[in-house]
Formats: sequence, C-alpha cells, structure tokens
Amino acid sequence: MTTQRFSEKLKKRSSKDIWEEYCGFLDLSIDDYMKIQKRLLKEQLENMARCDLGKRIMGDRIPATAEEFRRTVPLTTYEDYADIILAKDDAKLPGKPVVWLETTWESGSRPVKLAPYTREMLDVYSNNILAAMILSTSVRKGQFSVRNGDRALYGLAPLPYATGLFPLLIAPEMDLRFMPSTKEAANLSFSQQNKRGFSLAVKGGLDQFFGMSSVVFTITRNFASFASSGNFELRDLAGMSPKMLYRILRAKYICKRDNRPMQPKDIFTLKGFVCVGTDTALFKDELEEAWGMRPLEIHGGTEPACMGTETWSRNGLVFFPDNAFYEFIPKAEMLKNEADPSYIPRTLTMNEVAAGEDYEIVLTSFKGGAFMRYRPGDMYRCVRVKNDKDGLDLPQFEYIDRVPSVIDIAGFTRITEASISKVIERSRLAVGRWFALKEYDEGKRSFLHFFVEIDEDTRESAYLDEQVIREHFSVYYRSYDHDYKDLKRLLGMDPLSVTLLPVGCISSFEEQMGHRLRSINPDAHDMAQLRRWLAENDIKTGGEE
Amino acid sequence: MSGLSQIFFTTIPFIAFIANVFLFFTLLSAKKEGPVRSFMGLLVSFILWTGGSYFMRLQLVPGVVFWWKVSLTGIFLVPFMYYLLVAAYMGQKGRFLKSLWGSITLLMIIGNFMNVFMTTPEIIMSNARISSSYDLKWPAIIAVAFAVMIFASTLNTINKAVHDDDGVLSSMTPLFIGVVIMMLGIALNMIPALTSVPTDTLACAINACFIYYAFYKKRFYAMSQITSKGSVFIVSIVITAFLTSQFFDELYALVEKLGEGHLQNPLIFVVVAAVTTGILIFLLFTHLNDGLFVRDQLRRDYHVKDFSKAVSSTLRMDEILMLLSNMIRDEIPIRHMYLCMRTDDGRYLSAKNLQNLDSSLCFSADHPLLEYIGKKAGGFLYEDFRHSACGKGMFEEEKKELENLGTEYVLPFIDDNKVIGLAILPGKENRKAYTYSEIDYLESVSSVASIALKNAMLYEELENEAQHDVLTGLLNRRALNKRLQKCMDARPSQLTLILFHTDAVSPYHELYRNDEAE
Repeated sequence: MTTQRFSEKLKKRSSKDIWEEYCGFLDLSIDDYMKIQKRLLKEQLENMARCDLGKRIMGDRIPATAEEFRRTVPLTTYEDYADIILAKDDAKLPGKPVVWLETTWESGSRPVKLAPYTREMLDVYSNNILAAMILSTSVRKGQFSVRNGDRALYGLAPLPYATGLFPLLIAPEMDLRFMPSTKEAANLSFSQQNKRGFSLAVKGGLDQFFGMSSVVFTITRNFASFASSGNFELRDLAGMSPKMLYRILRAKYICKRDNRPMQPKDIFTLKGFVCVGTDTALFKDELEEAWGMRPLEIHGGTEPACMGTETWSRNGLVFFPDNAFYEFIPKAEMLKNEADPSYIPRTLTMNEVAAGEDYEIVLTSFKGGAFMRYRPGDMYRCVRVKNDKDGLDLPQFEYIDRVPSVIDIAGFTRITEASISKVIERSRLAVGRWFALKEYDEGKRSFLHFFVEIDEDTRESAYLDEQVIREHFSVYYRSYDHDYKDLKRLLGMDPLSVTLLPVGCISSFEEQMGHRLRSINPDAHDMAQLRRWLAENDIKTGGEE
Repeated sequence: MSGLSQIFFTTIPFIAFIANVFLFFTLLSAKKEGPVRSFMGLLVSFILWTGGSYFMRLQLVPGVVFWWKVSLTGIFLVPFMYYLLVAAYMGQKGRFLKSLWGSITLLMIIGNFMNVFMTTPEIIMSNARISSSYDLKWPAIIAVAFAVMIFASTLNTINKAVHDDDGVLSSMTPLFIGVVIMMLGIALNMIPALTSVPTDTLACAINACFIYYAFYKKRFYAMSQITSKGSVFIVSIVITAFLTSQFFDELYALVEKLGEGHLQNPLIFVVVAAVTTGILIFLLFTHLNDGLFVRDQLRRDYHVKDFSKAVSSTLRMDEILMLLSNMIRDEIPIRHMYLCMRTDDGRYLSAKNLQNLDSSLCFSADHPLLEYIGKKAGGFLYEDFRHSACGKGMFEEEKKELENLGTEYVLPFIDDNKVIGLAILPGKENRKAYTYSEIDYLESVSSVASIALKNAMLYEELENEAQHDVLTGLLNRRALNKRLQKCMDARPSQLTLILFHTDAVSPYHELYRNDEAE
C-alpha cells in the first residue's frame, strides 16, 4: 500500500474526504476521544515496559488500565529523564529516535533539554500540522482553501527547535513555495531567514503565514517602517510581480489618501495564518487588525510536539487525540504541590475537566516517545467542555502561561529562581532579598520585572541605582543565558525592568502578610497588597522621588 | 445533394435523437438524486433540440415551423439546464440564481414562439432537403447575451468549486470534454461546406454520452441498474418505428409484388412484418444487453443463490467458512483472504487451515476497526478506515500487520447489530480497484453468510452446552458416550477403558453443597 502525498490528495480527492481525514477528530464524541487516548496509552505502556527508561519510571508492573496508570506511575519532570536523554542513549528509550529536538531547560548551567522523536511520532506530527494548516484557511466547518503552489512565509525558529520541523514536515507532503526555500533557509540565520522571507513575500505575494507569535508581531510592527521608507530602488523592483507592484502602489495611494499607515493587509491577502508561541493570545487582536485575518493559534513544544489547534472559529484549542495522553492538575492541587513537594497532586483526564478551571498539563507521549506523566510546565484554562455552536463535543482550552515558577519571555526563555540566583552570584551585585515577575508593557510585550533590595552595608551600594543594576544584570544574564541574548538579537528587546526596594522591605511585608512571597511570579493578590502596603507606609521605591 | 449527404441529413439527427431518448429512459430506473434529475432535465432539452430537428426533416405534423421552434426551444433551454446540472453536481445550494436564470430562460422561450428574436422561418425544400431562411431581429442580441451570462455563471460555479476543492476537476473531465465537443459541433455547423451535415445535433448526442459516463463514474447509478428490459424495449420500439417509417413504401410494394395481386389487404402483412422486425430487434438487443451488462450480474446472482443453498444445508462453521472463502475468491481475483470470527472473549480470530495461510490474524475486542464497522452500514475500503478519526486509535503493529497483508477491503458479517465476523480482503491480483458491482456482490454474500454464520455459532454453542457439565465445565456423560462411540468406530478391535470410582461423593455434596463438592 503506497501512501499518497497530501498534494496528490488535494488533486484527486474531494475536499470532504480530506477534511474528514485530517480534521475528522473534531467530530469525535468525548467518549470516542477517550477510547483513542486510552488505546494509544496502552500501546505506549507496552513500549515503555520494554525499555530501561520505562522500567525505571513504572517499575516492573505494566498498568493494565489508564486508571491504574494514573494511580501507580509517578509524575515526572525533565530531571527524571535527563541522564538518558541528554546522553542520547537510544537503547534505553521506548522507540528509536530519528530526530532530536532541543529547547531551553533552565539556561546557564542546565541550558538545553532534548526530546527524541520516532518516525511514528513524526507521522502524527505531520498529520496534525496539516490539520492545523487546513483549519487556518477555514472559516466554517468543512470548508478550506489549501492549494499546491501556495506561497508560504514562515517565521519559525529553525531546527533543532520544535518549530523547525514545520516546513520540513510539510515540504515532503505538498508543494508549498516556502519563502525562503527550506534549502536556502538552512544556510541563513533566523533573523536573515525572516528578512529574506519577507522580501520574497513582498515581491511575489503571500498566501500562508506560519510564525512564532513574537516574531510575527515584530514583523508586523516593522512593516510600518518598511512601508514608510517610501522610495523603492530599481533593485527592489527586480523580480517583483506586476500584481504585487500594483498592490503596493495602490496601498500607498489609499493610505496616503486616508492618512493612515500602511498595514500588511493592504498588500497581502492571506488564506491561512498560523501562530505558535506562548504569547499568541496577547497579539491576536492586533495581528488580525494588521493582516486582515485572525491567526489560528496552535500549541505544543519540544516535549509535547504539536499538541492542539484552534478550529475555524479560532476561539479555543482542541488537543489532538493521537499526540499524547493528557492529564490535568487543577491549579489548587498544583499550588499545594509547589508548597509541599511531597504532596502528590490529583490529575483529571480530558473527560473530567471543568469549564473555567485552570490546569497544569501532564503528558504521556505516544508512539515511542520518551515522556511519561511528564510536567512540561504549561498552564491551560478550559474555556468550555463542549461547543454547541461549532458542533464540538470536546473540551477547548486557552493557553495561560508557564507554571508560576517559570518566567517565559516571548516564548524564547525560561527564567527560574535558580537561574536568577546564579546570575546574581556571578554579577557579584550586593543583592539582598529579591523577587521577579512577568509583566506586560503598553505594547503588550512581556518583560521581566525584577524587585530587588540592595545591601546597604556594602561599598558599592552608594553607586547602585535602578539603571546601573538593570544594565549590570542584563549584561550578566545575556552572557549566562543565550536565549535571553537572542531576545535582543532577534526581537530587538531587552525585557528587563528593575525596581529597587528598601532593605528589609520584603521581610516586613512578609511578616505582616504571615507568609513568604514567592521569588518567581508572586501571587497577583500578594503583589496588589504589596503595592498598597508600600503606598500606605510611604515607602519609596528606587525609581520614585 | 449526394447520397451520403442525404444519409447524414436525416440519419444523424435520428441517431442523436434516439441516443438522447435512450439515455433519458435508462435514467428513469435510476435513483433520482438531485444531479440525476438535473441531467434528465438537460436530456429533455437535448431531446427537444435533436427531436425537433429530426421531425422538421421528416416534415411531421403540425408542420416544419413548429418543429423548428421546438428545436430552438431545446437550444434555449441548454444553458439553464447546464447551469442546474453543474450546480447539482457540485452540490451547490441557493435558489436566487436558479430562479433568475430560470425566469429569463422562460421569457426567451416565450419570445421564441412569438418570433421576437427572428422572423418566421421560410421553409425551402430542395432535393428532398429542408432548409429554413429567416432574418434575425435586434432582440436576438439580448437572447445571446443572456445565454452567455448563464454559461458564465456556470463557469463561475465550476471555478468556485474547483477553488475549494481541486479534486472536483478530475471528476469533471468527461463533462468538459463533452462541452468542448458540443461547441465544436456547433462551430462546424457554421462552416458552409458542412451545412449538409448536422454536426450540432451529433455533437449534442456525443456530449450527452460523456455526461452519462461522468455520472456513471461518480457512481450515481450502476450499469446493471439502467440496462433494464424496459429500456431495451423502448429502444426497440423507437428503432422499429423509424425503420417502418423509412421503408414503408418499399415494404408495401414488396408485399404487393410477392402477393401478385391476390392479397386483399397488403397492409396487414406490412404490419406483421413490422411487428416481427420489432420482436427480432428486441431479442437481439436483449441478447446484446445481457452479454454486455447483465450476464455478469446474473452469474453473480446465481452464484449467491447457490451459496445460499449450500450454506443453509450445513451448520458446521468450518464448512461455511470454506464455502464463503471459495465463493469470494471465485468472483474476485484475490490470492488469499482472512475470515475472522468472534470468540467467547470478544476477540476475532482468523479461521485456521482455511487456505493454508502461514499467519493468523487476531483483532482484540477494542480494535478500532470493530468500532468503525459499528458506524458503517456495510463493507468499506480499508483506506477509508485508516484515514478516519477511528483509525487514529490503531497500534503501529496493527497498522503494519494489516498493511503487510495488503488489506484493501473489509467485509463485516453482522447479525442483529452485532459483528459476528469479518473478512479481510487484500488488493486484487490485477491491481485494479474494487468495482461497484464487486462491492455489491460482496454485500450480497455478506448478507447470506451472516445468517449462516450466526446459525452455526448458535449450533456450536448448543452443542457445547449439551456436552459439558454446567457447574464444572467438564465434559459430561453424553460427550463421553459420543467419544467412546467415535473411538470404537475408529478402532473396533482395540479399545481399553479404565474407570475410576470415587467414594463418598454423595455425602460430600450434602455436607459442603454442590459448589464446593464440584
């Protein structure tokens, strides 16, 4: 039996058949969804039972049911796999990896996490990406507009990052015209790839756009400067299609007439728009306004692969049933576990989640993947358990953020208490107590807000103001964490803000509150109380006169 | 006019007319879904076009002008009917454009009968050939403009459908070829040298055949469904009528000549000759039809009947499975197949030693294929299942196993909504896809086999119950006697029997109750 390429299917099969093949999972009832989940879990447990990694996590006994699995197998973190996976010890894994993906672990001393992918996992990955691509061009159930020869721009981090698989998995399946081609992109830096791609899109047109939301957002913001640069050189016109030339001239005329800046939608008519990344939800409205099409959000990552996609309504993620076995730790349980690591949090399955609740996700890879009851550190909110309007009998989610103990900036970094402590230690700054949290500026861009007390007894304290600490800290963090450095290089941002607090301020506040402040992402209620407390006690922070 | 031109002049419209009438009547027996209904509508317009043209040439009552207008009515109807056909073929909904184009077409037809677009044609007869002379009036431009608009709307519908679904294009190829031929026929008719050959009506009939093929390819109907005796009968009558009308004078003269003036009413003999000719044509066409389309169907029907008879005479599962296996492989060119039957623990195991297969096949009770069967009415292509959401639940090993067997079709045996077994059929040896009639055949076999297999399972269950003790599950005295008899029958001269007697069984029963004692 030969497998038909997606491009062949587009030519020879009806759109109904194609929709059913790739997006048919959206018609599953929750019971049928769970049947698939439990069956593939059974297969994975057998794979795991045969390998050292599986035996180490599960012991000798293979759980007979999903319930027994949840009862007996412990929750895991990357540390449980690091010795085997980072050593790329294939023999101890449940399946033979064909690709190793990479992502940030905790930067600095633990810079990378690796994730092995088997051939079968890539097949599922590829299918699910194609499903997302189909859905990104649809505005109603069953209708889509994907064609061979479509011109696709991709602002995605290259391999070994997970997003680098997108073009590589789509290219063998269909004849999309990637801008730049995957071959050319292999010799370009990420930043060059984005510039080259955009230049090709301007010259020849653009049908589909896949990108990390922070990158897409940056491209969108930079579009204004492209548009306002005004004069084209003859070199720019070379190779430009007459259609694009006409569109640009027309857009320039209209924007000048209406006295408004040119936007991407003035020259591009997108058929499909896919955004990946932790900050997607923040940028969606602005991206829709700029591109004339609401982006379809998909979620996943290095360990979870391509996990979920929005549908034609673009109002909630549905998780692919064949990607992983999903469990959800209710937020209260997660916080209880954070406060007391010996506490084993309760998990729920897809058919047990409740609308409006926040959950930390727990994954068990299918198809020979390595992770079992693994906590990738992502939080999701269940927005609804079924969607009558769209005819979905499956829960839909929205991504909230990383777990509170991790600060993720623009999807590039993972800042933890350990990494900040390490940077403080290296910088030799006379820092006393501190805490850090993720905040957003007026432009909806996330940044790291560092609240710090300086030890007044030290010699340097007299010279240390917020500006000095910020620069000092930023330099050391960039040298310690390459992903943090990339933020500046790729997105042109230095996402750090520093607030100096008087010495003893944090302890006094904690005394009054009766509990310790979390060092990373303190509770929102605690932060509000702190700000009020500072104001009431007339305590000046470093930036205030 | 040359003899050849004369033949073309009357014969071609006749053939075109007959072809359209034939296609129309065959569709009467097909299931009238939207596209088939709209195709019948288009055929009506073709019939009016070609029929009007033919009857005009025959100078039938009420007159040449009438038939000329009928023919033009057909032509006026074509764009609208094409639009309806394409809209139905693409599954397009919406009434606005249909109503708009329909109303305009109606106005055009009324205008045609009222000579709004052209003057009343002047009929010119020369050398038994009829031609018409007329002058176009300016409103004819409006008529042409509307026809172009309707065709443009049709093309737009196609364009939209193709935009949404590239796959539509390949299924529409015969339709496109048909339209090109029709346009070519109309264009050729405008060349002065070819005016004696009615290429437009000929092209119209060829176009109808292409549409017919496109519909057949899309499985709107099966060939066996449309080649009924009724359609053969109608065609025979039409041909007989044509021949009689064409050769009536010659036949009458021949009868008179043969009767040498003694026949009082030669017409009776002419009628008898015509009826006889009709019967012969009917028999000939029936024979051809049976040979071309129905023979295979009949043979398969007989085969199923024989199978039904054979399986109803046995209650042995292995015999039924053997008959079933042979039955399927006789008709479908496959090397092997797996017949898997439900076991007590809910699994489906392939029957042993059925075709001396090296491997066996087993489906667990939770296999997604079984769930998919529950959602389908009958058999299905394995690929359809593989690409369904249900198929996502398959283990990699299960996928490999079925793909290594070359699985192409799955035929379930269902009784009372329960899957009692399934046949796994590989791709055919000639590498062609399973045809409509083969799938139809498999469905018939499945219906018969399901009942037989269920009876055999019940029989095995009863036989099993009759030979086992309810409490212990051990073989009982009846089974012992039966086996002893079997042994004695096999070796009557050598048989040793050792009997063990256990003491105090009865008190033990009384003291500890049956469950403990057993």
